[in-house]
Amino acid sequence: MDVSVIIKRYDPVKADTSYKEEHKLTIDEKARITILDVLRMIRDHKDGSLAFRCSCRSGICGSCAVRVNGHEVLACTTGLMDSLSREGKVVIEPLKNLTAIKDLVVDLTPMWDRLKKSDPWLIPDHNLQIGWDNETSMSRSSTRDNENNPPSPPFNKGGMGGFSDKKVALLDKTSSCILCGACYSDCEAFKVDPDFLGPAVFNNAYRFVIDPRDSGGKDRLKKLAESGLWHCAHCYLCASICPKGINPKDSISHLRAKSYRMGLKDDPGASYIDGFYHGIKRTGRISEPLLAIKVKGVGIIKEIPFFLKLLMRGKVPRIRGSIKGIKEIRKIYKIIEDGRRGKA
Amino acid sequence: MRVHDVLIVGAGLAGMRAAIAVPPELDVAVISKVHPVRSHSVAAEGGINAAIREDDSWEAHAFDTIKGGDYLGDQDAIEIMCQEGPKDVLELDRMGALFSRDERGRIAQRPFGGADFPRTCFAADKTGHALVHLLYEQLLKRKAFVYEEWYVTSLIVEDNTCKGVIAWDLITGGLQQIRAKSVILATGGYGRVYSISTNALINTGDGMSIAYRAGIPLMDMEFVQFHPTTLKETGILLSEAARGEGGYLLNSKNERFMNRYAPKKMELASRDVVSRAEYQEIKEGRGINGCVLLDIRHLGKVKIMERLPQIRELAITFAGVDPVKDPVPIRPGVHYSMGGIRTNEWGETGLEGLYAAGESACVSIHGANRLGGNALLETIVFGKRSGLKASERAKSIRSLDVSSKSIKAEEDRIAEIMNRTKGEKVPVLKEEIGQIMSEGVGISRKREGTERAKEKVKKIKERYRDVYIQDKNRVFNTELVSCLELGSIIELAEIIIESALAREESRGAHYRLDFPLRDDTRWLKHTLAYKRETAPRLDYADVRITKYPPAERKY
Repeated sequence: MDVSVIIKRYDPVKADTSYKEEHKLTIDEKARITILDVLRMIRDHKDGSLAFRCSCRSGICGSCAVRVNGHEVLACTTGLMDSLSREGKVVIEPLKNLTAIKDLVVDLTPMWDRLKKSDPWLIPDHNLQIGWDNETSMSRSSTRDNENNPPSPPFNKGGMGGFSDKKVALLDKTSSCILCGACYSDCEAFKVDPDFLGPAVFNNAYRFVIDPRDSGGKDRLKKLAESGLWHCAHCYLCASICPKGINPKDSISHLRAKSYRMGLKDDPGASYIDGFYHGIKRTGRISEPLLAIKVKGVGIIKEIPFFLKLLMRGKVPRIRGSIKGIKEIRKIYKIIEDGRRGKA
Repeated sequence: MRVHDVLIVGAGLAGMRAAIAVPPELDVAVISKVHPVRSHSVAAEGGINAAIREDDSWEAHAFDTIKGGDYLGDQDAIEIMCQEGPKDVLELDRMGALFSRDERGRIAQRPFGGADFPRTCFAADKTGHALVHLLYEQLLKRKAFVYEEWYVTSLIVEDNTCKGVIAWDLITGGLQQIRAKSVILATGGYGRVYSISTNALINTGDGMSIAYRAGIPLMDMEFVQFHPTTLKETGILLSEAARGEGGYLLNSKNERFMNRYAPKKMELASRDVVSRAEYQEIKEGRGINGCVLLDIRHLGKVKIMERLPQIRELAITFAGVDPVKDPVPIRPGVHYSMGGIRTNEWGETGLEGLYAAGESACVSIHGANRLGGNALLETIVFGKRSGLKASERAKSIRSLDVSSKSIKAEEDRIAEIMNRTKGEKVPVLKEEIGQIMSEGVGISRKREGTERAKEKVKKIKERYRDVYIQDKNRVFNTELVSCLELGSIIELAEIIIESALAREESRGAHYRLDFPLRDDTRWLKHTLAYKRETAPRLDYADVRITKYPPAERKY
């Protein structure tokens, strides 16, 4: 069948604007042709100057993330037939939020730099002895020095310092990121906070936070909390497009919860949650003025003119007392809080 | 001018393991034509072997490796790997590797082909991914400098010493001389010499080629591993873990045909044996559209999802078959290069200042056939050792005296290619040579067929002198890089053919229809190929045997 492949081209030498180029191809619709196959066909047989990255062609190296019809995908795992419009068209563009180097090749330096900033390595807990199994893992006939090389801590199910099945599954999932940059392209939070670490980097950081061998603890979380952790808008785009089915947004939520519980509440985002939580507990209502004070702190003074305007137009809600069923609400809080203590 | 103490070419497992072995007081840099996490090690699936259990031993591991390699491996080097393996693997665990665990919380191990003990440690079926990302993290922690997307075109060799590399910066499009007191080549294999391969598109054997051009011999290049379970159209790998976890191989009559070829080990015989058995079944008419079937349905969905999730994903995406419900059509495909740059057990190549490790090197660990799970172990053990040795040398050197002659020659070479105004395109030749190699020096070989391949490659080599690059801009010119890679491919093709023609016996992965038996009297020796203008010059070296005398191989 005849298909039309539209590729967004960019040549930094010839011109400083990008343009769309259409290629008409005849393909066998029964063959499993991927977007990467199409790009290679065009480069190898029509236009040798077409630039794109690719390597493993099996969805594990993360080189070939592009946008197809506006959505981030790995070119090598995306079928052409699945991507065609009714008119037999497909549009291939480079990732967003990143500068194009040439055609579909983008500069991923901003993502790598953010990754470096997040200290993405295990900080081993040398005191972790609990759950170490001395008969583990050393073979009998070797000349190795067992004292200097103690066996590794096992993931003891349910044991202290170990992992539950649920945690192992979570670690499996979060650690399967291939750093392809698809979520970086999709993320809206960079518009609010240019220093936002981004979905992949937060997800990757979470992998260390939940690793029981890690001793990064509060310091690790503090650094993350100060790197835009509260600026994620929970739009779920990263989770919906991740080619490996990871949910970075959930990792961000878990990081927020962990840092909040560790008392890292300096950020307006954390203060907001704090105000919300305690406000409801106290009165059963959300008090917007009180929340505003909580989030803005002393800086609220600057908002006085705005406040007066609101007041004049009758837009400031009255501060009211507790709702009728406040006792019921507090019971709910107690159940939740007791439950959490029990778990800890 | 850039100068480093240790410069590592290639950022896969061997390269990165070497880099983090360099002590902090030294300046280490890694240079790679792709970003480190894109390196092909990331696609390794099944696992890494190490004798870490009480009831296992490194001697048993060594024996399995020697036997698997059909007695061509150097036994002293194999002993080193098997002895150091457990410590090195546990070291990875302590760095933060997420190995799968058994019910007691220990690092889990699974059975693998050719091994008498289940000694393959793994992270589901994504072991390479787990380890590449782990070592990249360690590389960042180590603050090693990384030249991302630089293609090394040649070595700087002066006064019989390697003093760095000449490299093309893909992003800006220019050549640079990068000087170093020690250089380690860790550039991986050459799977893309063949038309269909499990290997990434980047695996063109460049490191082997540049070492060869610098006068270093490539050893045992006739031994090309065919992996038994690859998808038909794409050559995409389905890990040996599928059989390690209990998968069956079936022919068109629904027979587990391995009982005819390896009654004891069945599907878990060594890879050369299983691949040849599949080839035989297909040849004798018991295949299905040129394939046999990999059946893992009896493992059940739960186990498949836990232990083999990637295999399932790959089979669904690239073959349209869900292995939970149906058997997957598979066939043998080019997978690994047992041969490579000849080194000793410290990665030393014989050229002062130059080291090699991983698949690009030949120590030799794998002999005539590699066991599954030993490639990752080799990258870790010998990557580390070469990193340590290269550092020792770097420490002992005060200053580097390098002329700028070498860069001029490379600049001329690239300018000449870029200035050609007409000719054939690179992909045309690449496809042709891949076909020639698959037919002439494939899973089974015969003098006439291989001779024909030799003639054809000779013609390709002539046509290569006139290939034409359409893209005249320097920025991210993938066509130019592809042209240089084709140069490596042609060179290695010649060496594989020459070495295969000369070896008149069958051993491990090298199977000659006209010489079907192993011949220890004449051929218990390594092939060495040296660069010559016309064709490679072959020489031979003894196999080092410690305590495992060659015996007949039965599985």
